[in-house]
Amino acid sequence: MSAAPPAEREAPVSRTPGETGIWIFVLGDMVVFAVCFVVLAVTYAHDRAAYAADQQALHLGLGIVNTVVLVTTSLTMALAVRAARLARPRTAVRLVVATMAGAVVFAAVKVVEYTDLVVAGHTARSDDFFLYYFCFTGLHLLHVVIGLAVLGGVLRIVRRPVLGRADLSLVESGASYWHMVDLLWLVLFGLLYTLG
Amino acid sequence: MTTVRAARERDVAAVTPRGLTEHRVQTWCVWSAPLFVALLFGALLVAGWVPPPSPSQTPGQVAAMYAEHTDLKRLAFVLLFLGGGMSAAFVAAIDHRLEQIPGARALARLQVIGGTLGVFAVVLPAIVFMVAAYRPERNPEITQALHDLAFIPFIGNLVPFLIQAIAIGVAVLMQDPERPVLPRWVGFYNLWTAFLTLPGLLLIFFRTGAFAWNGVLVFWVVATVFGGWFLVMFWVLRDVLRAEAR
Repeated sequence: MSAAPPAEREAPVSRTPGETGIWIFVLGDMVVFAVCFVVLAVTYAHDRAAYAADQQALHLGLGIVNTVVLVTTSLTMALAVRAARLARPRTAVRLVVATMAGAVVFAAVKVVEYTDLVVAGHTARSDDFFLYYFCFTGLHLLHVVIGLAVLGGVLRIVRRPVLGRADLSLVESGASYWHMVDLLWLVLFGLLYTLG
Repeated sequence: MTTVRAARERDVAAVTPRGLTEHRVQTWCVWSAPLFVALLFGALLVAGWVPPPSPSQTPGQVAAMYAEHTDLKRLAFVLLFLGGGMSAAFVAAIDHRLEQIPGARALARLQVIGGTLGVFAVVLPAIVFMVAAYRPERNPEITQALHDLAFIPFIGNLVPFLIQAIAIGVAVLMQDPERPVLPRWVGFYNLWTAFLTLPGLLLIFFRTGAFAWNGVLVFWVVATVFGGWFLVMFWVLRDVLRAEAR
């Protein structure tokens, strides 16, 4: 391996990952979730005792499992982007598949949680806490499902031996979306499972 | 590509015997968007419906609401009616651009279909509101039924807009990056907007809370996103038109 000439080394310039357009989507989505978070905070402030009582019905253990799973997928996704940049397709493919597997685990755990709650008699009709619990985590789960499709697209790209600038940009866009899904869950988890 | 550009130049240069240029007609169509927003939200203000009336009102309360300032409400519904028609011109303005994107013919048609249904999504509730306000002294339960029949589709009839925004989003993202007709971010913006209006579909399940037709996630988020979409698209199309005239 020959040493790269100094001129080819890129100076650390400020750069937006992925294409600029994806950030309109990401930031816009975060604004809407911010409204959801305020709705939760207002529900909590309105009747703290009821909020805390309802929270007892949630399975904190499963919530923690899902949080760990999702944070891990953020790591595998970041490593996948790195592998793609370094032109290591096999590593990148493995890491993207690991990320997708994490997403599937997350969705499966969520389904177990929903079933558990409904069997115990807690539905979106029960009260405000459960209404927002089901709607907001459902909206988030929809993001995870869309994320799975996005990751599928990323997988098709990183499989190729050589990636162009536009390909890398698409991979970064997908990763940015996935990190947002993770970030939104962290706040949702905090508000739904631990506030109170 | 050259034929598209030639056609565009011909369009801009086309002058009718009365001196109405294609460019001027396009400008009017583009300006219909802020007019639409002004009429739509103006109508809500004139009706005294900002914030909107609660869906948990009793029939008596609904009837009393229509009996009060009845003529102002009728005026509001006429404004809403006119506003719905106004949005048709903007659909034409968007179509003009989508037609210029090579390969996006079907999507351009789809945008027109969504936009045309969107005119109905405003005009039909306006007509039912007019009917409700026509005889405020009638049996309150009938007035409430008409009020629901107008308000639920007025806030909740999002499918036409979904069709329109998704068609624009896909058409813009499929453009040749070297020769974009519309900026690429507009594609992501339209897909995001389509996604954001989805909570509106939950409104029939609730009469109180964030998902009711006057709730923060249904009325306020959807109204902001929907109104904002017309203003952003207006600004984008006006810029394209100005660049073309230069």
